[in-house]
Amino acid sequence: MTTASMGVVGVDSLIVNGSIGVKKRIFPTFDSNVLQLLRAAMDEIIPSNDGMPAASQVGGMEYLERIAGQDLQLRHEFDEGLATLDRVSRAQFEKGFVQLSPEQRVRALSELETTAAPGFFGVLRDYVYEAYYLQPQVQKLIGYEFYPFRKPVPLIKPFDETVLGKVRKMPKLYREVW
Amino acid sequence: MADKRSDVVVIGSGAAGAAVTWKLSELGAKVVCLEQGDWIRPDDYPSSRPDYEIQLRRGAFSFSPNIRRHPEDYPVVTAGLKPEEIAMFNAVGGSTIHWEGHFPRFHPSDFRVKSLDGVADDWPIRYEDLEPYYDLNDRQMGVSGLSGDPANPPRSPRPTPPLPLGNLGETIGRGFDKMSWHWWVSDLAMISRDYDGRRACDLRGRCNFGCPVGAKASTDKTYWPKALRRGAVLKTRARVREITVDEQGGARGVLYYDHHGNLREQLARVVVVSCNGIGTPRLLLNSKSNRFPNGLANSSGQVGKNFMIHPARGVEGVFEERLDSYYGPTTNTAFSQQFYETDSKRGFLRGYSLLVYRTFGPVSHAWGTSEPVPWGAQHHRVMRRRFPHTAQIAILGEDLPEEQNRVELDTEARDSNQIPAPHVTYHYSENTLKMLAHGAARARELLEAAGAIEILDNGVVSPFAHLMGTARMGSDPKTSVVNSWNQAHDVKNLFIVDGSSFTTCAGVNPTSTIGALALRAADGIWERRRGWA
Repeated sequence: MTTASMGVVGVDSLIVNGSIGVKKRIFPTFDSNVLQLLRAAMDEIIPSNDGMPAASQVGGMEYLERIAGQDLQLRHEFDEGLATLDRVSRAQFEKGFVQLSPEQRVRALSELETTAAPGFFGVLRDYVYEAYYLQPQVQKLIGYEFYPFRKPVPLIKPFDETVLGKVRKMPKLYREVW
Repeated sequence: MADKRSDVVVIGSGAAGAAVTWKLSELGAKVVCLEQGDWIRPDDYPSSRPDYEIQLRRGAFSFSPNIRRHPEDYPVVTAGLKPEEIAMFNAVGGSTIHWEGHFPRFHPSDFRVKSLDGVADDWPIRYEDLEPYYDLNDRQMGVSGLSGDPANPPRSPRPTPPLPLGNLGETIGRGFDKMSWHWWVSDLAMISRDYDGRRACDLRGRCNFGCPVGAKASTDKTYWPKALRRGAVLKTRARVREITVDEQGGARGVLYYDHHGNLREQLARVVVVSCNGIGTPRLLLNSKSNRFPNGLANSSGQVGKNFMIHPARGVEGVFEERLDSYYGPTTNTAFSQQFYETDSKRGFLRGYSLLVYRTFGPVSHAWGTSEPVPWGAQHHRVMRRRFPHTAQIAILGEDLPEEQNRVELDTEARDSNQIPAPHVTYHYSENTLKMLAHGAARARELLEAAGAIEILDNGVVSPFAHLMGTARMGSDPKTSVVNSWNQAHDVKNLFIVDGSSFTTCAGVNPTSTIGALALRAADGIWERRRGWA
């Protein structure tokens, strides 16, 4: 679901299926300033280097918008936490986070992580990680494959009893009792 | 509104409730089981979904009722533990839907803790009393493994051969050998070959999130089909409020809310409580009457006391080679009991198991068990180094029964039927912390011997999902709640059959012992049938 389509949905107005049949309510998502902050922050948390894409390049924004759209408390946490990040940036560099250079953004995020809002930073980091590593194209790049229940898994060498050869020669370790 | 009287009413359909229902039904008793949850369809297991890992943090299949908050769950208020550290599942099969399937047995010495080590108490039964029931439970649940382990008494051939160790298990095995420490392939309640009408494990992993194959022994797939064929009645979405008593002080039956919220009474000649180490004391404490003002079966004051939860630490090792640890059975492939029996030179009493764990997928790797993968410029390099190259050693320690670790009724929180919620108070003892520190140091040595290039250890102590000790077994009615047959000292037709009845908790996962006790208790109930009212 896109940002635009979620934005026109009224609060409490749409029910969709959540995990294992639980109904989840859709809320309007972030405003445009928050979206810019989120994109800039996630691409410093998982940047593009070492042959890997940045978080926003593989659908990270869309994923987080969807998650926050199902959880009003989380959306407020993101709104407040990202506003704190912007305040930290202005205090350090007299510019908003989005206007900072990459090096300055890293310093502002470090300030958020260590001092300004460590709890929120942990939430943000973990959601960005989740948004990134659930993407099939990322999973392919790191050599991970999710094996659905109808698809064969790679063979694992059957158990070989000879690996216990040394331990079999041990004396018994348990205590006899009466 | 009263239901037709049964011979036995069992409360709870998990590891214990299913086993006791099946055995009594086989023997010929008319059994009704009341379960507050419902059947879970295998198609609903999150293990079938690529995003299964997010259930570790949130969602409808979270391990913790404090996160799930389903109508069939009840909140657990905690002091000394984080709310999310309480794990249980409310459904047909109970927490066996979620469990890892590790199936070790207690040692003979675990039944003689006071006599051997001068702490806690002895059980009123011995290993030999339980051994035939361990064997029966193994056959009914379906176990893979190998007999011949020098750290345990000889046991019968395992129903199916061991599951593969994989790169991870064999790598750590070489580390154990290098240290000249004991290790063995784990007994798992997961079948490696087709068995008893169930399909063999296909090594897909993600076992904690439900096994659609049916290879993992959740009791909805093992005991329940057989029990229902023998005529047992299972009522789902039936939440018991209290156990009622008659004029003679015997159990009369139970009051429960059906799925419409109507209050009903199930009468029975015998009542069996199998609601786990938190749910059972909660129900007993909520079953107050003029005759039992402090709760049922509580003349000793021990109901809810001595709560044990198996304290743990985890140490991870990162290896050069791929361990491919995200497929294959999730639970520990192998274990060591090198430090299981007491050695006073170590500075603590009792001991622990070292458990070799596989891992989940990339999301939980990035989140990190010990520490998250760092963010920023170095993120991809470190992630590539750790995934899928990480193995975990968990230290599962025995905690000792202490009265101040307890389950009470909360004065404010209630479930969706307005029944008071349990309030759990738990603190790690000095003995526990010394034991876990010793175990973490040994885990580090092991991982280094196995070739780890990096060790991750955040020093955090957290509990396993094992709930035990709150209606303890003993010979003395003044200091215990049930006797050697899980029969309440105070109420002769009341049996408490689950982890609550553990006198001590040993340094191993409890479920095989819970099942064995349940099968033995069923025999005890049947032998006493002439005394049923």
